[in-house]
Amino acid sequence: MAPTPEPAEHSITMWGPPATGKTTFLAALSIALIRHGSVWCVNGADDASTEKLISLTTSLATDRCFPPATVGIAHYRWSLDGKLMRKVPRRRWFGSRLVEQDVRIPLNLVDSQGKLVGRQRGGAQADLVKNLNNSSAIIFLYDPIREFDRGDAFDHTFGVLKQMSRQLEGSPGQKLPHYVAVCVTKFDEIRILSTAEKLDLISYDPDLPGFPRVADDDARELFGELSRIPHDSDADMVLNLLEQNFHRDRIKYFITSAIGFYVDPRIGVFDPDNYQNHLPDPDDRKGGQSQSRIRGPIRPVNVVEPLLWLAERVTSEPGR
Amino acid sequence: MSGETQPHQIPVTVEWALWGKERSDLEYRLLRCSDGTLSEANFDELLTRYSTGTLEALPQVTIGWLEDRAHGHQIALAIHEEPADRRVDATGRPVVLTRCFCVPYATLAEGRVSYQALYDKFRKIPLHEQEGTFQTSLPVMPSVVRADLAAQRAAALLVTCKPVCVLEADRAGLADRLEFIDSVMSLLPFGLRCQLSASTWASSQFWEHKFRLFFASTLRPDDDCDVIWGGDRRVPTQPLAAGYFDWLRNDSSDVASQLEERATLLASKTDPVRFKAAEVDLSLDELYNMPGSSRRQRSPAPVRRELPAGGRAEWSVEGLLIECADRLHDGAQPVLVANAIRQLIECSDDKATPEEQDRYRRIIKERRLLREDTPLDTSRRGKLYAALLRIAFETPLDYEGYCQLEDCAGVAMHPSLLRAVSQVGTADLWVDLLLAGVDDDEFQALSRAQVPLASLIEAVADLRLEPRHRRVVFETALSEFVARDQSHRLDTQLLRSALAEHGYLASAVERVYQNPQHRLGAVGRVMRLAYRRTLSRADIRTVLSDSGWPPTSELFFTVVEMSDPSDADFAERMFTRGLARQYDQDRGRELILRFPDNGQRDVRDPGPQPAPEETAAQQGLKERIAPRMRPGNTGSHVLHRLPTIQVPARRHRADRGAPSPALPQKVNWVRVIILSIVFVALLCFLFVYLTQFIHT
Amino acid sequence: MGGDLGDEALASGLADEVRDLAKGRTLRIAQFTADGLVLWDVRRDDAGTPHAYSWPALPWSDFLDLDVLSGPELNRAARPGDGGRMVLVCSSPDHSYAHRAYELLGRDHGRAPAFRYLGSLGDLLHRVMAASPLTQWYELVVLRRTPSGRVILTGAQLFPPGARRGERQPFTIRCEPGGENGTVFAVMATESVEEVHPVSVKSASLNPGVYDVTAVLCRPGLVRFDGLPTRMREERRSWAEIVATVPTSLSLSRSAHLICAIEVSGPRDLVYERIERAKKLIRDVNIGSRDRLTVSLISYGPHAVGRMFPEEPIRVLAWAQGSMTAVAALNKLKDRVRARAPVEPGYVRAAQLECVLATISEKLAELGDQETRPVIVTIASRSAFPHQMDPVSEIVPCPDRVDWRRVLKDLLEHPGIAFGLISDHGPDEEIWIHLSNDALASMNDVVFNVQHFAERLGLLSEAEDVPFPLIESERS
Repeated sequence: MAPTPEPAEHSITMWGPPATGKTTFLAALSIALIRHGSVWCVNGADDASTEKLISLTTSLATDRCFPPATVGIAHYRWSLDGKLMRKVPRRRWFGSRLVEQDVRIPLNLVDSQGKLVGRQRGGAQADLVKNLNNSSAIIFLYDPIREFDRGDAFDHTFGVLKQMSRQLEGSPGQKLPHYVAVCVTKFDEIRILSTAEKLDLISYDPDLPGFPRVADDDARELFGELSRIPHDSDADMVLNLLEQNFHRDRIKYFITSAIGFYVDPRIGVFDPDNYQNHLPDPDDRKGGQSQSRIRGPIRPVNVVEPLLWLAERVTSEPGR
Repeated sequence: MSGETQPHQIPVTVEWALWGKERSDLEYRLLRCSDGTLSEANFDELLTRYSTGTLEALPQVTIGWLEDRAHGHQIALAIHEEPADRRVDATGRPVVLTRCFCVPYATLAEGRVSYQALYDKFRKIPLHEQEGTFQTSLPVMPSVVRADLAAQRAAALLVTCKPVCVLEADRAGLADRLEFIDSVMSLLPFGLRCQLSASTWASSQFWEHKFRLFFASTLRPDDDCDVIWGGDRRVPTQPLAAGYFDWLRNDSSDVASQLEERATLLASKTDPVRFKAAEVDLSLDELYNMPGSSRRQRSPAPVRRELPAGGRAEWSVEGLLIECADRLHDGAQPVLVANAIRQLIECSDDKATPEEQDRYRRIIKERRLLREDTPLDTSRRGKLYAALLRIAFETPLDYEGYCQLEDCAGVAMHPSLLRAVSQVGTADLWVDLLLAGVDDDEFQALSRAQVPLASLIEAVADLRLEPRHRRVVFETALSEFVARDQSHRLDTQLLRSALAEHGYLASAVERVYQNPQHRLGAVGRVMRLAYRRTLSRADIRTVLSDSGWPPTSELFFTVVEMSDPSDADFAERMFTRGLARQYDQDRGRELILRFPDNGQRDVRDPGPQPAPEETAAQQGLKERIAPRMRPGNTGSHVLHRLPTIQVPARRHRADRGAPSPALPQKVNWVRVIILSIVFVALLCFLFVYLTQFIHT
Repeated sequence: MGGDLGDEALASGLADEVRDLAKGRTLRIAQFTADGLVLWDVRRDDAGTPHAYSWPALPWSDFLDLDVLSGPELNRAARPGDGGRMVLVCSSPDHSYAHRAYELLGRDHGRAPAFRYLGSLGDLLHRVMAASPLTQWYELVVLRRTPSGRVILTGAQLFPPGARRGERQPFTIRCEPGGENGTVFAVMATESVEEVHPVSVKSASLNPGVYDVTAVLCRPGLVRFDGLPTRMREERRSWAEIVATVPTSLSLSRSAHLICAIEVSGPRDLVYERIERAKKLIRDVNIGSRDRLTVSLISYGPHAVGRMFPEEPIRVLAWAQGSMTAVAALNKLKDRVRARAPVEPGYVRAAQLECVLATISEKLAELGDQETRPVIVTIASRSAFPHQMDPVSEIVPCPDRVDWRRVLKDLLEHPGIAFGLISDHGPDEEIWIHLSNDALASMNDVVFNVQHFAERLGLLSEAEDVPFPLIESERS
């Protein structure tokens, strides 16, 4: 039976400072679904988007290199095809029953160049703000490693939020209506995982390869702690900033890793002593700095969950 | 400028900027720039504004412009390439380096310098050690460049001030694409170069880019015009573009010479022209009005509507229809078609005159826009049809419009078109019946709408109904009767009354079916729905003689079937009586008097003795409908409008066989038992709860 | 008195007279020529080398007394002052004055040998002196190293008294670096233990090494040394200056096992440079080690840490071999590197140095040689893999979890072990500090100072100039 398309057109905008992993997150989506044997799969809605889906996925999975930095804004028209349990009324009896239905959730994704979210104003930033405002949902990426080195997450967040609020022209105190999935990225980095361990927020997946996980309920706490670590930045204000501008019950936090942890094939399970999956390029360049490569197979962590959560939220509403 | 001898080389002062990343950078930024009249902010704006999106193939060239009082018109040519040191940024991602060179438009205009000349000169100039502005000389462009049909088309489309996207040029090299841009611009007034933004490639995912002429792999979901690389023989249909296209070629047999002549003329038009409708129009008018500049006008050239500031030129509706049809016919990419559909939807809000609608319908019919096999997905097709309906027909659609629609469609109405009809709304019960006759969901909606029986029967009996529609209307109405009967919603009394007004639809059935057997069956079904018992003599009389409609043979035989065999003779007499009544009174009376009974009533039949209430009801009914009982009454009908049909549901087809006699209603004992158990359980629970409550 | 005019007689007579000439005495030869009286004196120097001196001819007119030769005048001119012997030679018998003078002096010095000789007396004297036997020991000044390393200035006897021209004496010496002045070959005449006189002092620039030399007595006062690769030159320094440069001691060395660990990851040119430095080190150390050197070679690169990160495994190119074998192995390694891509892919942050050290430790344990001291020289750029994840450097751990600190601790058990590092890094990491404990050389230096590097490792002696040859002495 052909999937029943969801009636409303919802778009999800990726938002975050440069090099936080927005495009990589998208590239890992298909792989995450396949790896988990999910009933969901990602498809392109038009030729260009399909081509891009293929190139991003194969670049990550086969070539094991990160996608090039996004310039400007990139629109992807994908869809999540899968099954959802829906309540349908009974024919002869009162009440309703749960029926598994084929569903197609359009994923109109907007990926942006991180620089657009900054102090510089201009037409390009206006385009991004417009896309954000036209979206039903936002995936906000926060990279603690980058924040520790650069300390500019607040800078990138504040200006855009204010522009969004101004453009929507709501009543005083009205919050932005979006659903926001706040994704802390690069969970596979040593510093992030070790911080979570110190905070005793780690549990281990019972299924092989037994990756560490942070429960959804603890994700906010970890995000808060990570944002407080850089002493010389305003990252600790980012959480409050988000919760001031969006409805609290429309924000959910996720601890994610687009590339996941490395698993030594000889062992087959997560090794807390050897899990780095992000290494400098094996083709050494003179001068020491080289392109980054991915060490082992891609095993994304919490990449699908934010999208599914957002998709379920936006499609369950009658529309914005 | 015309008439002067052009110098072979022209000196120019070049300002420049280097854009990219250092190894420690995460973001692209201005690395270095000259210290001329353009500031860092100018370059930042230039390079940010004319961004191509993420490039996968390098090198690429972009052309931009800057205009302000301080700097006049500046043309920027930027070369995007891989850095020689193959550097990566702070996260290890490869860097794209951009060298941007700015020259005054006035200098380019003076020397008619081409973009290729700029590129050839600047690509050899590294900027990592350059300090300050530098002087160089640029060659003058040749007067004629290769201009194939694709370039001519692109040039013509550019005069509409809409972006033009060149597709299927993936394998063309950078030099070829740059040459194409030059070719296109050589077919336009040179002055347009002061505001040309172009790119040898733009990312198909980056919808917000600001290029006016660009190469890409797919179109944006916007109203970009498209040109196919390497052999696009399509002639623009948009009138402004078509006109310019014709002017370029001038219907000459020697197109090459004609183009050369035009290019020479256009190269002399160096005064700056902005890509705004008014300025472009003015420029074109000048060209067209120049002596010797003949132009074959395409008919009709629509008046360009006055645009709001910043608006874009619009297509005429006819043009849009034609363009849409062309794209569908040519199997263009879905996005192209989506563009056309979107524009049509925008037009559909405009009120068109009947003459205009008539033109639109002609185009729709000629171009077969409503055919079922349009290469579109269901959603888009529905949108297209709905837009066409709104544009070319009066909506909500009445029966006349429906007939016109059928004529436009050229073939039988297919389901997707019918759904579009219901989407735009109907203003006529006939249309509802026609829709319901072919679509289960529509039938469900019709059922839910609870159309009065009289209206249904009236719709069936109305002689204005086109012969091709009669069967569907009749059968749909009949199915509705059956459905109501099955759901115990059929008021047989009302049905009889309504049927009586219209001769029990016997004449209508005659118009529907040719085959007597089918007629007999149809009449029989109607009669059995109305009468669920053996017909009495009173019924026989009413049906065959007193209805005011001449009975048909099928009606007669049906009555005979439904009545007692002993009443067959009576039925026959009533039949002849009924037949006689179709003539005028005197003549009819004469005929009746020739019959054996001489008009006497049969002694066994005391005559019609209706029950008091029946009599009153019937009398009342007769009084109400008396003026309308005459055949051929063409008084205006009060038609019913059905509400917009919502969510579909499955329809249960009416049983076409002989309806079973009415059965007594069954009680669903299972449901009763379960409900009883639940009720008792609730009572027990309440009892226990109260008991406990009291004890505590 | 009286004699033949034959050369042989005169030569023989002169030879006898020269032979019998004692130091401090003069042999006066009066030659009567047509030009006048020529007087020759033959004396021995301190070294006993005979030398002949002559004066210009005294014209006969100086001796005429009323046109007659004056005997007493002749006597007075010709008589040797110290009462030495005299020989009379008439070179112009036909000249009246020459003949008359010859007769007069012959009458006065009846016991002086008298000869008639028409040839060149100077030449004859040279021949006679050259053929005369030595009157003292000729010795070569050498150095001898005692077992404790102390240096003694001594002589190696070359020719005894009585040795004549043409005699040869072969011997073996060892030359150490002589510095800019080269090695001094000083022949001394030894009259007694206390009386030593230089015969000849010459120098030659010789590479350190052992030489088989033959001393040839050309004539008294001239010794030639055959078997040296360079020519001799006159030594201009004074004896005191030369002797002042003699070191008081020369350090001894044990046999050494030089183990070179060469990292072959990184740019090809860099790997070439590492190989060349290893070759130079091995060659130079081998020359100075007096065949007490064994060499091992190990090449290595990074571990395979992922599919895109191939391994450059540990290869033991040579183990406890001679230097020639090791150099040949290095040449093969260079060929292999030449055949590969300019930059081989692999993990760029580390190389499996820890596993190399573990391999060395295992193989040394297998060898079980306590006499030979191991010297580990690492020629590398990249650090080792840690044994567990390092949150600071973020280098992935060694797949086998080898802990280089523990391995190093085991290696330090070997007595006399030394560590040297040739790297483009300074000792900025802990492992480099350990591996450069004894010697550090930079890859960025244009010239690799092998001597200094090897001395720090104890592979070569201190860089002192040794002016004289060393004579092989008793073993340490």
